[in-house]
Amino acid sequence: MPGVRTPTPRARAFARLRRERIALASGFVFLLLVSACMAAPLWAGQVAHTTPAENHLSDTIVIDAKRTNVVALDGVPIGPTWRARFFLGADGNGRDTMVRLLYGGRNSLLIGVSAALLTTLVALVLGLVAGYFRGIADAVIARALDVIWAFPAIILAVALGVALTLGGLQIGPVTIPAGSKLIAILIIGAVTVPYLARPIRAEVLLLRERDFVEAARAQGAGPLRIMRSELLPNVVPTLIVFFPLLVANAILLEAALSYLGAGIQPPEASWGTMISDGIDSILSAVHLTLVPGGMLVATVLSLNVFADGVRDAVDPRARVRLEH
Amino acid sequence: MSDANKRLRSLSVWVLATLLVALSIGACGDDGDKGPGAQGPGAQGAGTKKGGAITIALASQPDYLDPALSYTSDGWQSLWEVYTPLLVYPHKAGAAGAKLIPGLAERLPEISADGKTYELKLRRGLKYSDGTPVKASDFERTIQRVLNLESGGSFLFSGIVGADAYVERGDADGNIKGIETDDETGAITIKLAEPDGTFQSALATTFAGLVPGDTKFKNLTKDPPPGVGPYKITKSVPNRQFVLEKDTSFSLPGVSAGNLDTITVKIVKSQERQVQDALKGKLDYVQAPPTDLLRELRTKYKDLYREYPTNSIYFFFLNSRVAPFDKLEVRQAANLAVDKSAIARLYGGLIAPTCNFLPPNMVGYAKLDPCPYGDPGGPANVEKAKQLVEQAGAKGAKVSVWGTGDDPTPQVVEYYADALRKIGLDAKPKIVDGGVYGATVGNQKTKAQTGFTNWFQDYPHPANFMSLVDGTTIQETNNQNLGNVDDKEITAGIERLKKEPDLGAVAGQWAELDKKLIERAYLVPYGNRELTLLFSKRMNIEDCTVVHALYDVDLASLCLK
Repeated sequence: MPGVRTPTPRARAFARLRRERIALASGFVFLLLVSACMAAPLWAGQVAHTTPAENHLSDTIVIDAKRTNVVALDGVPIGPTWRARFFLGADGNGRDTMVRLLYGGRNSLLIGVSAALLTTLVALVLGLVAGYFRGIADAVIARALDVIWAFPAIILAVALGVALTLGGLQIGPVTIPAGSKLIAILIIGAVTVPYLARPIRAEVLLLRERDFVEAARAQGAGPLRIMRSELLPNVVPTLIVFFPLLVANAILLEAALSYLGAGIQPPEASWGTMISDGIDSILSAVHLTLVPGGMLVATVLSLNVFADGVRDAVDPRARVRLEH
Repeated sequence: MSDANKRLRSLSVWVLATLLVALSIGACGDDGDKGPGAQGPGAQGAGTKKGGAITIALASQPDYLDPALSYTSDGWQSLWEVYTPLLVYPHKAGAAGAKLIPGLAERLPEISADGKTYELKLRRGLKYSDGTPVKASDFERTIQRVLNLESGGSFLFSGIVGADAYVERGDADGNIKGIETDDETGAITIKLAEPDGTFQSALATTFAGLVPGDTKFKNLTKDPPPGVGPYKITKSVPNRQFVLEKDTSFSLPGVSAGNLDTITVKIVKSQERQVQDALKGKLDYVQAPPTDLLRELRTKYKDLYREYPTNSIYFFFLNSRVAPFDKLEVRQAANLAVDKSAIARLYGGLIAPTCNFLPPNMVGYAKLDPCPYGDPGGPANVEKAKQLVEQAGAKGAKVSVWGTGDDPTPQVVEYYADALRKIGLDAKPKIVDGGVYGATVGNQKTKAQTGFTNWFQDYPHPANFMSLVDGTTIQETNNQNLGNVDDKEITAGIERLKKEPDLGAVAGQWAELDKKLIERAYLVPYGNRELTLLFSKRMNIEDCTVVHALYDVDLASLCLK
């Protein structure tokens, strides 16, 4: 009927997403946390007047007109002061917990997002090639994914992390120095590839039998063009659904790697290293574990809930699920 | 169910899942096996009770469980109970434990007038824990292993005639000319190239703990050889545990027979976990609990907690062969940059800041006052340190600061790295497991620039500490002179004073050497340590815990209530 406009799939998805209030609120919380972490240099320079690695072992501060050691003579650090300096207290080395939390968040988010992007890129290529060409290509790629899939991601990641973190990585002429964040990004990116590649492959296997793909083949389009013009746009919703979940998983994996000493190296901070440092002081300075742990939970939780909402908005029939 | 309810259900699932993951990350760590539980009779009155089994913990695997190789206090504490040398220190606390007595030898050595020849005789009828008879020739094998395996203790025996030639030849089974033995009579004659006032002490180290003559020339940590001692190692699973079982056939005058039947030593990396297990009774003895728990232990668990002084020095080595510490100004800057009272807080106040290298209770100690780098209890002099770094043209130099993962060393190393950054060096911590630390930084190929180290006396003589800065002790592997200190004047002084039989007469000269060492900034000493112990409730602490001046807690002295 002339004059009636049918909403596009994208518009329908946005409309569904707007109705997902809790998901939107979670997304907002996540953005807030990211913004806070991005503002770390501002907090460190203008408010706390310190850096994330600077020790203040012998320093004192004045709280309620009383001069207090940042770290007591018996080694117990100060708890949250709720003031500009040492807002969330100090750690055993007298470092400002709030500053380290925010800088640590930058590292955790950087590695999480970068690893998720790497996973997405690699999984997309592998999934498209395996799903479209089938045959030997599919067999080789699928079996390789199965091998990685067989290892629990965290065990594989830690094993690789321990091996590469101290010694560095050499790929041909390219040397990645020991302790570089790139190593953590590559490890996490690599071990989570099967989690995305398999669903993409499954989707491509279905899509390649569809009429529009047949039509493109009939018009003489080559495999690359078909993958780029016909398959990729139809796989994008899957990527949109999975990406936030990948980021959340990557952040958790990074925290675990750093906790075990195979991720971020000192003096840099990450939420994982902060939890690791704080575990030994859990009785005398519980804030050292609670604060980064709480931040990790809040970030991952908000991202997961948001991702759930995005999935329901983009893929309401829930054809695609993250395999565990 | 409405969408909102679905969302909330999903939310709660995610909350639970994520909390579980975060908690599991937080609780993750080396989960030592559960303790064996008490065996033997329950607690009774005071007095030394025989029998029973205990479990103790170490935070990392001892460097080696091979007497020829181990050179850490963790290793020696156990090996002392298993491998008795020709001479020993009594299993007694204080000064009584620092006086040499015969071990496997019948009596103390007869020393020739020129101080170069030592004659001993093996006691008759001795047997190793596997029943093999002990022979006099086993002594040469024991020393061969120390030299052939390039042990950190090699320098203690390099003064024996023919020792250098033995090493150069590279023939493991070759003869060391200066050691003559007679299996028939049990006679052992040792000839030194030069007199050495510390050689008797060297004969009492675990390096010289006798092993059978067919013991292989390789690291036997996984399968330690039999020895003569109150205990024998019956199981060794590196990085998990090892077990000491009482050798009921052992009997030597002056050496305790051991009270307990079995001592299981578990590797539990988390010292926090060790303390929890000790308080729950799953572990019976913990050495050096984490510093952040000291406040609670000193108040709530004071009946189970003990502190005791040690003759030790904690310091940062400065590798004078590797930039930037090959420059005197940079080494001086490192000394000025460190606030020793700040570091003391990282040890829960159990470090006494010092300017000297020799510890206060050591003969030859004379307090350096004034200290060339300022009051050890005072603040750092960052500005002067910065100037020295710039003067040396070392601003921005990359520095790796090495340390072990044992609490609180990572925090100490992070503090030190931060102190170096403040004076213009680009310093980053490099933490490695305690079990491989010595081998890593002691390997010249590593080119370790600076890092944490410490020293507890092997024997009550300043030469023992000064061996760490003696140019003649530098080795390619298992190097103990981590700073590669090779100062002609200091080395000559050490070599000369070592030969003096009357230590008291040359105490002032040792003090002069200590002073030169500090003025030339070959290292950054920061304190002398008090050690701490935590026991479980079933341990009888008062009646049978001997803290030895050299070997810390004498495991053979421990007993149950």
